[in-house]
Amino acid sequence: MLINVFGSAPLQMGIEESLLSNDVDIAVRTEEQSRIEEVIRNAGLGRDQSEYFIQCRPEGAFRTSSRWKDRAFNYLFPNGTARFAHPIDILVGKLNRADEKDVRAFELVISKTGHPSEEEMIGELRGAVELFSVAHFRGFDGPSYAENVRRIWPRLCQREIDLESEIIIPAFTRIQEAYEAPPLKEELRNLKVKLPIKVSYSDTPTAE
Amino acid sequence: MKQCSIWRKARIGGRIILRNRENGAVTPRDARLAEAIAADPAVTDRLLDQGMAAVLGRLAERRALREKGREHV
Repeated sequence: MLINVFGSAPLQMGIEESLLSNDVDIAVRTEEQSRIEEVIRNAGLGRDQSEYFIQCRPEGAFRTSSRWKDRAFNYLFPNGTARFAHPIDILVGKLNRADEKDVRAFELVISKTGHPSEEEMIGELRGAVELFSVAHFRGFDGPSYAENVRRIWPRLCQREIDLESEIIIPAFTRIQEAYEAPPLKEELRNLKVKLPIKVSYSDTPTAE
Repeated sequence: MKQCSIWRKARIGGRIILRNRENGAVTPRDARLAEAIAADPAVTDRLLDQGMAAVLGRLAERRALREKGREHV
């Protein structure tokens, strides 16, 4: 079984103990969710069972950079693996909500590690540009990812950010390159019959 | 190896374009094929581009093999 661990717990474990949170957010495959919830309850670690509890979130609830699985820390135990998200991916994920607690987590990680720098953050957000278009489904009435980034940027980087020119357009331009191709169909359509020049015998130089 | 028909068309189209670019020659058969391939919505610019790259790659492989053969002589 593969258990993804995200939220503040990996930050608390890896970076700063004071970054307290009462829950450990995990996610497993949808078909395994009820089983793991039962295991959590049996261990007395469910919500309302313990001061510090484990919350099994729906698969896909951790919305962050698509790079996150490449750089997560995998802890192998005999019958499974716990995959701890890298701090940068947790921070990118926190921008979905960007509450005061989330912004403080950003500030704390930056003060402890010096990362992510402004440049690194821009690079990460370009790599996770899909997040800017996700939060517009029916029923979602919270602020969008873009609004959140715009709102907290001055606090983290002491300046406003122009999302379109600094993140969205460069990211989509790079993605678009993979889908672009020269207009070869047009070239095929315009081909006209033109036979190769054949040299006739009369042109053949003859020996004097 | 059996190729999918769309990919085969893309390679044929790519070969016709390359031949035309190289010596400007277009036979009536090439022109007929070019027209049919250009009208086929499944054969996209991207596939034609890949088809051309595959044809050029095959030529390069053959050339490399010939060179290698010469070295062993």
